[in-house]
This record gives sequence, C-alpha cells and structure tokens, in this order.
Amino acid sequence: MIELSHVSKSYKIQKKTGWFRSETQMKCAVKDVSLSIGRGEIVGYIGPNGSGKSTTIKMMSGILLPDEGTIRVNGVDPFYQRKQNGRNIGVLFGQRSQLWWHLKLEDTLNLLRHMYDIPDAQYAARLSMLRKTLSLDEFWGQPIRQLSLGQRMRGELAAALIHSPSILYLDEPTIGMDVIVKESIRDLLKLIHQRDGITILLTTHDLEDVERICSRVIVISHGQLCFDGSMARLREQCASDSTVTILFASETPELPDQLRNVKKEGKRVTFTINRAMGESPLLAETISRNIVRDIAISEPPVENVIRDLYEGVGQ
Amino acid sequence: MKRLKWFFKLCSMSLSMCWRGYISYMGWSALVHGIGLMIGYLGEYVVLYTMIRNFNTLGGFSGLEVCFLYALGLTTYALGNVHTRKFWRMDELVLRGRLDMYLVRPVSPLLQLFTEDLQVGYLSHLILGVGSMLLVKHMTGLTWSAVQWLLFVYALLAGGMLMGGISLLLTPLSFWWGESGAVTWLVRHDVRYAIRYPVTIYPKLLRGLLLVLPYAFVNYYPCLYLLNKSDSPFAAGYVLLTLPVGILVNIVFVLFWRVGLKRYSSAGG
Repeated sequence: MIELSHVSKSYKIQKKTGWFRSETQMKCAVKDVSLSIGRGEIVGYIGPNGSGKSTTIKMMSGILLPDEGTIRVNGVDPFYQRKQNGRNIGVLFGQRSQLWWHLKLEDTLNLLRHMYDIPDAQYAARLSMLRKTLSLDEFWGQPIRQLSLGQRMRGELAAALIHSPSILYLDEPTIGMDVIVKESIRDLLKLIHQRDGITILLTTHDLEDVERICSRVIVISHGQLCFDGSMARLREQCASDSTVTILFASETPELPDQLRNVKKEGKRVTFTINRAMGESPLLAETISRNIVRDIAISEPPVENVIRDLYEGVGQ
Repeated sequence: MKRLKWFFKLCSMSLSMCWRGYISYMGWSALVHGIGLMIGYLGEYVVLYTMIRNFNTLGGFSGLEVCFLYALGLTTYALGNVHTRKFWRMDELVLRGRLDMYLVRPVSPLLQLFTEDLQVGYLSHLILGVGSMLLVKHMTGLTWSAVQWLLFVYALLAGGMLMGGISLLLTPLSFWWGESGAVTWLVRHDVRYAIRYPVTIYPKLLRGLLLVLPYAFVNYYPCLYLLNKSDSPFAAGYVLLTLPVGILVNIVFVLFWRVGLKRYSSAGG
C-alpha cells in the first residue's frame, strides 16, 4: 500500500554570517528511511519535534519530493502523480482547517464533492454514513466558526473522508483537545477503520493515541527509524524498569540476592525488574520460593520508554 | 467541454460560498462598508476633478476625462483582483505551510487558491467605476459607435485580466524570499496611483517603466480610443493590444509560479 525505500530529504538553511553574506547549509531531515505499510493497518508514527515525522508524511502525500529513494502509494508516485494520488488519500492536519469558516459543513463537503467528481449516489451514501458515524447532525446547521474543537475535528474528518480515500494521513489529530474529546476522536477513528478498512497513518505526541488505536508503531528520531513493531514489543525492547509490589504471607520472605531497589514494609515488598535485561526469571523465582497473597506489576510509563528510545538514537 | 462545464460550476459554487460567507460575517455592515468605500472613492474623483480644472488640462486630458481614466483603472483593478486575495499573503502560504492543503487535492493548487477567497466586496468598486464612466460619457456629450461600445466592454475585461496578472506577477518571489508582501503591495497597489493620470505627463524613464510593467495598457491606451483622443487610424488597435499583453503577463506568472512551487519545501515539523 505504502512503500518507502531508502528515502532521504534535506532542507537548505540560510545561515547569516555577515550583513549581506549568508552561508547555505544542508540540514538532513530524513535519512535513508525504508518502510512498508499494508492495506488496513493503523500505524502510529511518532518522534520528537524536528525528527522528520512531518517531512515523511509530506513526502508520502506528494507535497515534498524526496532527494533520494522512491515512494509508492497505491502504486503511484505521490509527487509526480499528485492528482491521481490526491484521489486515493485523505489528509487531516490537526493544526489547520480545510473547512470554510463562515459557512456550514455541508457547503465545504459539497465543494469537495465537486472537486473530487464524486457521483451523486456515492456521495449521498457516503454522506449519510459519515453523518451517522461522526454524529454530524449535532451541528449540521451551524457555521464552522461556532463549533467546539471536538465538533470541528469531526467536521475535518468528514471533509478528509468524503471522497472515500483508501489511505488517511492524520497529522496530530488530537492536538489541543481535552481528555474526553480525545477519547471520542480515538473511538471514531477506530470505528471508521472497522467500517472502511481504511489504512491510517497518524503522527502524534500523545502516546495514549498510539496505545489506544494503533496496531503498529514506528518511531523516528533524528531522521532515522529506530523502532518498528507493536506497542508491546516497544515496551519489551526498551530498557525501562517495571515496578513489582508483592504482599507475602510472612514478614520474612526469601528474596533472591540479585533483586534491585528492594523496599520492605512489613509483609509488603517492592522491587524493580527489567524484562529487557532478562530479569523476568527473578520474579518467577521470588514467587515460587514464597507464599504470595497479592501481586501488582506496574509497567513503566510509556513516555519513559519513548524517551529512552529517542535518546538512544541521539548518542 | 465537460472540463469547461466543471470549471464554471466550480467558479459559481465558490462565488456563492464567498458571497454567503461575506454576508454571514459582515451582516448589515457589508452594506455600510460598500457605501463607505464608494464615498471614499467619490472623494478621489472630486479631488482629481478640482485639481485638473485649475490646470485646465493635464497631459491633454480634461478634468472629466481624467475621471474616466481613473474610473477605468478602478474598475479593471476590481475585476482583475477578484481572485487574487490569497496571494496577498503569500508568506502565510509558504512560510506557514498552508499551501500543503491545496497540494493533496486532485485539483490544480492555483485554481483552488483563485476560487477560495473571491472578493465579492468589489461589487461596490464595479458599480461606482462603471457608473462614473457612463456619467462622464454623458456629461462630455461623447457618442460611441457600436464598435466602441463593444471595445469598451472588451477594455474592461482585458484590462481586468491584465491588472490581475500584474498583481500576481511577483508573488512567487515568496518561494525564494519567504516574504514578498512589500514588493507585491507596491506593484499591486501603489503603482495604481500613478495611472490615475495620463502617462504622457511623466518623464520618459517613468513612462518606460509604466510600459514595462504594462500599466499603460490598462487604462491610458484604451482611453485614447474610447475618449476619441487619438487621430491615429490604429487607435482601436491600442485597445485590442490589452488582451495579448494581459495573456502574456498571466502566462509569465504561471511559469514563475511553477518554478517557485518546485522550490516549495513547506514548513517542516
């Protein structure tokens, strides 16, 4: 569906060195990135600011031309066959609106119908589906400028999906939203994915988005891919500690010597293990040697996992 | 043919949306704004007319004739800039990456930019401009042949095309400089003040400039013919020349835009 092979992209940066003189420097935004996304996948594409996320999405959607490497989206070169590519993809920029500010959503959708040459019957069916799924009737008669952020984002989604694209790019779709609205947008994305079987690629800084909706996560840092896999594997791979709390039957449990950060509080003992470093057997050993009343394992916050990953590549 | 029908449908949809957006946003103040603009421009006529009455004539033009010249400039400006608003803030598009949105749709980005912000408020310019030209014609007792009427309409449309082209011509500079507002403002707006007077009053160098940035074709040459100021048998040719010059300027703009768009690297993130 989406194929990138050895894609690189640099920007020219003018650096002032004097009153009139300036030096041109090349800043590498994306370096030798290869990846492949199959039909119907939901992929979270994450990385710190300036890591090359947006650059990659812009190359995939035909806005930018890569310096090196090739990109195929549905078998089409997104830059040179921009118009053809435009029919296959829907794009939502979380920080920009494509809706007509002073008019109702219906007006924008109607204009898009004309731009994409959507046949009447198809448009009617699609529109009624989107109205139901995205609960558009709630604000159907209001101009966009009167909508809340959550409502507007539903409108943006409708505009990005009205031409039934097979791929949806979302650039920070939940930015600036409160927890409840974020949650509803996530649910909607999942619902649309189920209904349409659409391929979704989303960038975000909120890892909750990725955890909740993505089956696969790709991490980019300093222009290079540093992880590609499931969220569970991401956790495993990163050397972050999990905290284990066990309530033992006795006040003097038998503990292996290698346990780290042990804190005792009567029958309650807290320690840390690191799965990535093969410490899981230690936990098993601790449990098998004692009578255990209760056990709680708290995973490292996913932010820590990601931070480790980002920093790992930078070194 | 189908493509042409599609194009006109797009234009009419956009026009309707821009109009409704304008009314919804401005409400009754749209009317007040329109009337206010007209009063402002009427003031300009009074100043021009009074000034030239003191000189008797200016570059061979009487006070009323200069008003006609001015009105032709105003009308073609309004006609020609109906679709150029998005380009006045090219820095928004280029530096902030707002252009991205137009590049992911299966329609030419230029066409989208042209139709997204049509200046329906220019209706007041048109009413005033055409109205005052007809008034001057009546007051000076000018009589037009059928051909002259035809060429009057032609001069408005072709002049509009030329004015629009001139407004757009330098905007792709933004792709290199990021900001081009100052230069394009100068070309679009300030030079417009120069062509309210007959170009013959200017020193040669300046006159040359008004020919190079082909402002003289917008109103001066058409006026020579429409006001019967020229004895030349080729006077009608001056008017006819406006269209080819207009087309040329627009073609140069489109080519310049295409080169710029290739450079467009959008706002990184």
